[in-house]
Amino acid sequence: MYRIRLVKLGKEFDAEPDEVILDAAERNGIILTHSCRSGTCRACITHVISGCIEHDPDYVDDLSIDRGEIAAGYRLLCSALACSDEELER
Amino acid sequence: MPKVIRASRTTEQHTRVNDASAVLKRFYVAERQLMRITGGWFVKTSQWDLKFQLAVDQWQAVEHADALRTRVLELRYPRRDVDKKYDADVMAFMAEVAKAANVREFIAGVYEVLLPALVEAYQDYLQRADALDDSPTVYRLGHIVGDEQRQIGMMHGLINRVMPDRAASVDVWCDYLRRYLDSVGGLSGLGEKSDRPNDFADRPEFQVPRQTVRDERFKPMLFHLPHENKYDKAGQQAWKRIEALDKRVAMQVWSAISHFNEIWAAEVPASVMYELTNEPWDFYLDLSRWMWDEARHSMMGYRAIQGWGWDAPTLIPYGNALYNALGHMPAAQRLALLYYFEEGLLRSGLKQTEIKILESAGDEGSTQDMDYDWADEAIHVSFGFKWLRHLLGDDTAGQAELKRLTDEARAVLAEFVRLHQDDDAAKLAPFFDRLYDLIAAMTYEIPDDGLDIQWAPVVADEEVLQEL
Repeated sequence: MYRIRLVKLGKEFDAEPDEVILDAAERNGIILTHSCRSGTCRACITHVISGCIEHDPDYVDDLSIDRGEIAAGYRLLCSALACSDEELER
Repeated sequence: MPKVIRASRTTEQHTRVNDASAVLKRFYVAERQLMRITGGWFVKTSQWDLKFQLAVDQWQAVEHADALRTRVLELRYPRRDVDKKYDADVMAFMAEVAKAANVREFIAGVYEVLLPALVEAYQDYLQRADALDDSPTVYRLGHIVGDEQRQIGMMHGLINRVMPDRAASVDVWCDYLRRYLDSVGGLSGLGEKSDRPNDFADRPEFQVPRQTVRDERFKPMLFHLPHENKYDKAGQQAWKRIEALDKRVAMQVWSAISHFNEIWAAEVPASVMYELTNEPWDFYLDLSRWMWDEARHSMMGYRAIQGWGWDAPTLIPYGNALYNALGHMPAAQRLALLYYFEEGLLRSGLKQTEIKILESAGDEGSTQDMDYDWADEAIHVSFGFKWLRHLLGDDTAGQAELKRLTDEARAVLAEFVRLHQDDDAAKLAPFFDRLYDLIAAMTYEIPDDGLDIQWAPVVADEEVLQEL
């Protein structure tokens, strides 16, 4: 279980290692901005301040996010899984 | 001597695989071009009812083209050629159809000549086709025939209602197109060929308009809601009176006016796919869908306005600034700005806010409209992301160019707003004052559900638009 902290909102929640971050937030009663739930509309794009968060490898080629954005620490929360405790710019 | 037994059955002419793929390729080209020219004329057409019908028919054309293209590729047709080597006769004929002098001629040419000819060609194909050997084609063409017969019937009723006067020149135009089509052997290419008529050789090729004109029943306006024009303080004050009634009421009205005016967002992809002629097939498939979705959103607003019993032309501002201010820009830049708007609105979470308020209002129709609008816009962002990278480059330079084009387009739009701030067509207060009286008379109380959402549309949208 990983601890996810939303810095701007001042909220925290837990996520299972194989759980999509957006789903984990909703399971904890936190509704984050989203639309497609498939990583294509970019509504949930978020900067990772610290920690490990990776896109689901099964869909990584179908996501609407640039390599440069990924390198800069951005992730699509509807298609991303936590791999450590983390802080998100939300 | 060779020996055989008798053939178990006979077949029709031109039904072998290579014959079928050649004919279906011509049909694909015709539908593909029909999609593009109908989209172009959608931009050029101002009359609302005709514009909407052209929008749906262009989308069905791209669906037909896609089905035919898929089938062509199933028939041992080389993938490298399916989007090349278009039949010159079909291309020439379709270019002639687009050269109509006005919308009345265009509609007659498409719905009285082209579509009936396509239906006839498809029915001829179906009559000859072996329903077992060529079953996938038979299935697809059967559906296309049904669609196109319905399109012809719909437009026949519509044009007679909205443009009952028919000039003699329309008949001359249709006669010319029929002779032209005959001269190239028909759409299947299986007929006799002859010298092409050249009655209208001096007419210029169709160009998609860079400036649109709205339906003449409406008062000409540049903008439609106060967030578009920050200089229109009177319009903003008039709108705030509506907001003061209740945020639910304001959202009901806002969403209807906003949806109705999404027509510009349909015009942008329609014009882009007309201007850019050599992109991958999926580019046209996606932009055509984008166009139809935005036209549907526009109809959602129109339907809501009609549902309240309001006369849209006298009560609703119907603007054209968002298309016309960008008209002189390259296609990729216009698409970039549309993408910027759509992505920004989704990332702001405004759609969720809007839906919650509409749900609180108990307005099932407006809520459902917004819900589907939201789903559609999510698709559009993926289209924009994919195709702008295709057009500009999927690398750092491409991203920099996208930002440059978007920033420049936003600056041009902001300057357009500044230059036109004092135009009568920029003043929305009279509309909102008239609406206020109507709305106030229609409001009624409902139980308080404790809706706790801040929605200040002028401020919220300005944040998204970054003070354009």
